[in-house]
Amino acid sequence: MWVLKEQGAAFDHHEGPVSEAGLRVDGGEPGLQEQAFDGCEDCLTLNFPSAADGRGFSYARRARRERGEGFRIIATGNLMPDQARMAFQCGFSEIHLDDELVSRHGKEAWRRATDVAPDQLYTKSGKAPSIWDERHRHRVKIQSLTAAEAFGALQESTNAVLLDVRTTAEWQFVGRPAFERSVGIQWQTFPYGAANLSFLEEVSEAGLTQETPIFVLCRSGVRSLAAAEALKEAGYKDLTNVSDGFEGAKNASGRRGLLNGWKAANLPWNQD
Amino acid sequence: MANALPTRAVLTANDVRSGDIVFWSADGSWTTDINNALISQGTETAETLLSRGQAEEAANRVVGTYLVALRPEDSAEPVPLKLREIRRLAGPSVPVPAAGTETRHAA
Amino acid sequence: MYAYDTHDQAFVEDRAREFRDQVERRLTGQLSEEEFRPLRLQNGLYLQLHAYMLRIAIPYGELNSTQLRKLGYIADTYDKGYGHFTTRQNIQFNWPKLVDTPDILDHLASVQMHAIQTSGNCIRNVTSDPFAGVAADEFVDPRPVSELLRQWSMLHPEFAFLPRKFKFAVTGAAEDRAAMKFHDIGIWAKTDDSGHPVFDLYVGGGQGRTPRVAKPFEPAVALPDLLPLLDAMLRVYNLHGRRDNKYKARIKILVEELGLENYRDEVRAELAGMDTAPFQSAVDEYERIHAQFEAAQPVMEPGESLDLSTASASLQAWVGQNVAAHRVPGWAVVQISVKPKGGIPGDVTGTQMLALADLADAFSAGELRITHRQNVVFPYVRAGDLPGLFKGLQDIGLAEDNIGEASDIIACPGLDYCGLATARSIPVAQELSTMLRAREATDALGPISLNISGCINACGHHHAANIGILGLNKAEKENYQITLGGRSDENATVGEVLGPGFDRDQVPAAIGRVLDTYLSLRSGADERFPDTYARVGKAPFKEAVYVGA
Repeated sequence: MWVLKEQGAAFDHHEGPVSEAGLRVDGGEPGLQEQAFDGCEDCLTLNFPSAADGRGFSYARRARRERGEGFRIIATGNLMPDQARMAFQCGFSEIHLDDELVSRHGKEAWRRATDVAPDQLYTKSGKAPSIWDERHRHRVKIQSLTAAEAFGALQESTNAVLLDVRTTAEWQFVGRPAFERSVGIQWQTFPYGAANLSFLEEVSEAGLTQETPIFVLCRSGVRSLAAAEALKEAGYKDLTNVSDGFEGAKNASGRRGLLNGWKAANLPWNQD
Repeated sequence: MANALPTRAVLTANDVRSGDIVFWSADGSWTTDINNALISQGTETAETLLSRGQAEEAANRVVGTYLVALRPEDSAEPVPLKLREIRRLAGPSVPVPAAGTETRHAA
Repeated sequence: MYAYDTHDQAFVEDRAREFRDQVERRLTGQLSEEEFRPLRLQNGLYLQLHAYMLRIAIPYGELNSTQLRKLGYIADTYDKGYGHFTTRQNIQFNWPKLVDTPDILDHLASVQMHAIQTSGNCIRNVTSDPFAGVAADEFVDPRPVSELLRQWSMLHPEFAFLPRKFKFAVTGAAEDRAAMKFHDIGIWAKTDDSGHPVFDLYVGGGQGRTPRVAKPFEPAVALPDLLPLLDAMLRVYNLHGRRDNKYKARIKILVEELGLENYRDEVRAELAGMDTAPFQSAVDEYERIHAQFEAAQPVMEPGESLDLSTASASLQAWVGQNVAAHRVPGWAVVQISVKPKGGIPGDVTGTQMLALADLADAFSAGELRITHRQNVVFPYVRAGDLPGLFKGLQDIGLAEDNIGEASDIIACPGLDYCGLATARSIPVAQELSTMLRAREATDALGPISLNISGCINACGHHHAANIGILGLNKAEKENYQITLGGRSDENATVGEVLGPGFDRDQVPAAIGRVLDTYLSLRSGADERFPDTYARVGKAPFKEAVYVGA
């Protein structure tokens, strides 16, 4: 019998069966016998009749809530390594494995299965923070301003930077804003639109710090928002998306540069 | 499940790697052509075939082995009894568009 | 549309890596087929009648042109050059190899797609209104809450091994275009007096061998309460849903056996003891997602509608039939029929996918939707672009002007592909489509839904159709039962079986007699099929179909 604990904390072999204290709950048909659960003192053992029977996960979630931390909740029976993570996230504290399950799947598979990256799930499950919590923690509001508003704010500021994330081709053929503190760093690269994997590096190399007010600009406000989101995640705190971008939206005849955006607002720009 | 083994049958499965339909052949390997399949006569050989199938599954070569009951007529051509097996053998009854058009895509 | 951030991207990449490892362990035998099955199913990989089948998630049916090009690439590179749009707004490929699947998942991850939870006994891909964000009758854009549900349900550790599959549909408009009441949980988004989104929940709908219309569970649930409530609803189901009989394992049976009131009491008791702290960030998250959809929406300046007076008859007919009202004047919601006369419902070739992607770039801001009726929607078309789009669609054989007509048939893959099917669906759909297109040219039948399933599991939604066809195996011969009077909209109704089934070659004539009866009995050209059926009942149809035969 093997005993697996959370996050690879322990994975030990015990000669013979491990004593399973407390109440044993078997997944009989058609239901679990929940009334028996109330008589249990300090430990609960849930038997998984098959890997496909996931009742134990909900049962453990409820038991953990009712009994608090410190109470032992043990999973036994037929689990796969791929379910170990789920078991711990649902409140199990231990998984007891028959030797056969360990030798067939391999010790490595079991150990690896409990390596949960801290932000791997969207909602909070178990001890690790969730993706949503991570996003919440890093929540910086990205301001949204039109090109005209942004230009006004840039002029008033002493250190705000205009970050143009369009492609080299757009700078060359469409033009660039004429503003002293501008930096051009592609978000996607020309000509295939592949993500610029060194975007964040280049931003930092350009001397922009997490405190620098950054106004992000692209053609029409979509790429720049994605870039601003990436900057936000990287810890930049003062971000503004130029919502209509350099060329703005297409007009009724499909042309940009007339309806809104930097050019249409008659803000200064030039061409290389 | 197998309380009534078919008297005339072939052993079928899907190749685990490709998913292709395969049949157990007389030369002791899997074939994609039912005409090369080993045909069991009588329940005893059917049982042998079934246990062969289980061994092959355990060896992770194929998945989902079972016996396809054939029409009892003494014809050379193996023809399944059941509608499902007839359709499985025949493939989609509508033409499948041609494959091999990768050249249109940028790598 | 929603764009992945680094978390979303890492999530799908990790999942693809994990599946690659699982495939390797399967091939070396560390994982038995019995263990591997739920793992591959949760990554969309089935073993079907002929081969493996990979079902790829199209969350709430929304795609961009880059993603569609990638699907075309997969069709041509790893499959036999075509794919099939499903009644869950997904796409499936019929011939992938197991050994190629990890590469396919990597390709999908590179364009922010995945195949997670498109199968298996877990929370499936969420479906929604294909007109989301542009419908003239919309209260609330259903996409932000659908995306919230996608994230909430992804690898939810508690709900990956439910008694049975679990399907959500979300709609936010007056007309239900998502068949919300035929889902395990249906969500109808509305707004409260102060303009905040609230959600009416329905539970226990479904099709299969026991079709049920979902029952009202809780009205006007506020956003902060939504996910805790769903967690509680699923937990009670996971603990008490039946596992002894797969045909009685869906939540509809639990709700029926317990009684709606008892089920509701159990859920409320669970909710009362629940710690809702883990859901605190969900409201922020909804706002983040909502802002993304807003930002990505193209700017649509109101414009003129299209003057069709000098247009060709074919363009006029196509616009009249396939274009739906847009919330912005001068813009059009274009429904592209994937039901060509005599064709296979929902099948598109790799070539067509690439061409559709180009058309979406040219005429729909690079975005499109897949509908649960197996068609495609372009949501952002300028009225003035309709002729150009029509021409482009004619070039690729997707300009059939039959949206909403009887020939706009839903059909499951049936016994041409599916391992569970009892009869073929596709050849029946093809024959009916040819017959119906001829009739639609002369008779003004009006909108009629005609759906075909190749077995009792009802993937072809026959129960929910005005005219449903169910393919069965009767003594090793294909046999087709007709149901009448079903509907999948906000007045959802399960169709009634008309009588004994028919051989395949008798089906078109029988359907012809059903249509004759409707035409002769309807109170006027504007009385729809299910309304006529509800008024006159089964008898006259039965008599016409069986006695007249």
